[in-house]
Amino acid sequence: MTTQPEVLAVHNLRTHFPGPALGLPWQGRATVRAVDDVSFSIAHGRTLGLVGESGCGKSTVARSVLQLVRPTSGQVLFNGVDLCGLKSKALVPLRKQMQIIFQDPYASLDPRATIGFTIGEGLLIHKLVNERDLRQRVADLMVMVGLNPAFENRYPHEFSGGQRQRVGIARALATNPQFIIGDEPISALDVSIQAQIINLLRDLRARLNLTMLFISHDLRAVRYLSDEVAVMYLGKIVESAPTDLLFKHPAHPYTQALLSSVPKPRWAASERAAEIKGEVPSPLNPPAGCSFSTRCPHVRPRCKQEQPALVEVQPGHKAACFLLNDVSHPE
Amino acid sequence: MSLEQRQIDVLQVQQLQVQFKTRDGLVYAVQDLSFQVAPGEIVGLVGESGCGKSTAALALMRLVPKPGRIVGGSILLNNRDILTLSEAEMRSLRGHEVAMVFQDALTALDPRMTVGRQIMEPLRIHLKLTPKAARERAADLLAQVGIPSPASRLNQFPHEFSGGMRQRVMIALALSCSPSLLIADEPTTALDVTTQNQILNLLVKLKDETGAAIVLITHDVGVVSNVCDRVVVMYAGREVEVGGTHDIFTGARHPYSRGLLESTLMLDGDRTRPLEAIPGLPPELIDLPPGCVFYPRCKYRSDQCKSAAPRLEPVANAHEAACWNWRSIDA
Repeated sequence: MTTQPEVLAVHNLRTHFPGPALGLPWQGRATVRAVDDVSFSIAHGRTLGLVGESGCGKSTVARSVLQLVRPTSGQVLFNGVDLCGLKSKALVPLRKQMQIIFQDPYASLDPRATIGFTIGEGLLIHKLVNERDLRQRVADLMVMVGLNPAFENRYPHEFSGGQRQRVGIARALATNPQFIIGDEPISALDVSIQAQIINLLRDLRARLNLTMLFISHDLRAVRYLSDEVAVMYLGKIVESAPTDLLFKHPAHPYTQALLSSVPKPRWAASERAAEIKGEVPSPLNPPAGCSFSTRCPHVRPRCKQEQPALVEVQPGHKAACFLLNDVSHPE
Repeated sequence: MSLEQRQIDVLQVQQLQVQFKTRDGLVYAVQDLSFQVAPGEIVGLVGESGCGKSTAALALMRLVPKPGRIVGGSILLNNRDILTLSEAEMRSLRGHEVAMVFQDALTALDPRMTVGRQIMEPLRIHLKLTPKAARERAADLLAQVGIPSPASRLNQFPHEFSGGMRQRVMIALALSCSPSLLIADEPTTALDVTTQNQILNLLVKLKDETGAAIVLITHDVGVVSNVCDRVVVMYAGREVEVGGTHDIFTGARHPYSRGLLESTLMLDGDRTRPLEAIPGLPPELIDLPPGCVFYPRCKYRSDQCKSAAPRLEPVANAHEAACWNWRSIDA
């Protein structure tokens, strides 16, 4: 793992948004701490899965990494270059190296552009092919993701959800990127199509030696696609570990709650899974101490006052909880 | 199941057929759907988008939108065929004897009406309660579905509730007149996994308390295995397999049910192997293949499947499958 160079290293990333006005004009606005001090790195050819519930900040991490929103502070090192310090113009040549696959294959494709145009547009913008070779390259890309190249002149509405997501993948791969972010790429798809797209992503990743950041709310999908997993809650990473370790020995009570909430066959679970109470607090008004303290079944007085730091449980496995030694591990 | 047992079924659907007349021809959205639900039982209708499960759910309320029409079959609710009722009789049934929980609570609830008024409406109309009694009952209902400080929340509008809380409001609304049948159409699909777990637990608890029968429409195989007693698997408007949840999950005999289960992402099992995806796409309902509708994607297909559509036949006790070759598919 350590032998491979890091393609992406994120240090203390913070992305804050102005929230609603606090009331009187001189009181200013509240701040939404969408991403609050997040650090992680991804080595060449590896996939990091970022998992959490809606509103935890995982998509903002994706957009901040790509500088689609500018982070408030922190570093995003892409092959050693800090993207946060670069002007938009200086980012352009780097963009062909890093691409994103979006969640909604209905909203992320231009309905008035043929899919051939959508797939090839990046190639023209970055002047990677001339007009003459464009068609061949687009056809190659379509074959690679399992689409019939004869469909290049069709429009997105003529395709099913799974096929559109293949178009989205072909578009992302067109510029031969080194690094891909998948932001919930399978969430909008049917079960049998999800499996096809997961297999496709795994296959392409191996074939093209891609480095990936895979974002999902679905632990099961993350498990199939990631080498390492980071769990986010309310703008912070609360646990990170190699995939098998995290699923076998989750250390943080939130990770344990997420795992036990995944619906399982009734006959496999001895009783109905203990449910985690309450809901995610508003990021406008996060709890003073540990962000999970309002819902944690093991909460202690200390958790409500201090924020736990991410500490190593064992090599490669980190968690942010004061009770790491007390919280019993299932299994 | 024996005849005496079946006579107490809350719901008996027989050979239900729903068609949509479109410009391009007739669409057979639901074809020959038959199933029963006993009091206190949860039956899952499972399938992918476009398989007809939501149309079937709407048909059970006689709410199929135009140009759709129920063209055949019978729906016996407490031994009365609702397809023979007048619209006025049907109106007195909806929300009273049979109620529905929709996927998206924000669109299903009226944004301009307080939650209290919405829950009181059926109580006033169906049960003829006085405003005061209806208000008390509405507060009790909110408490029953786990909403804290119910009396004050009655005065709030849907947008003041979180997603999970809104779904609880919908369930309270559906249960207000103690219906004998509850139809839940993807009730947890829009929710986060920890909230989903809360809502599923709530449905099971309420079912146990009230003895209501539940038809749960979902695309999520995990949810089915978690809460349903029996399952109806649908594909392209057809019922392809029906049986006890455990029987289906451990010994599905229809190749589509098999494929659906195998392509479902799991929390355990080998994650390094590619998933068993079903190749291809579901057929267009307007352009169904002759013979078995699953024929083009089936790995067990034979010549017979191409020309003749298989009917449901018993494969085990209370377990039926519509496949010519079920005997060659290991249980």
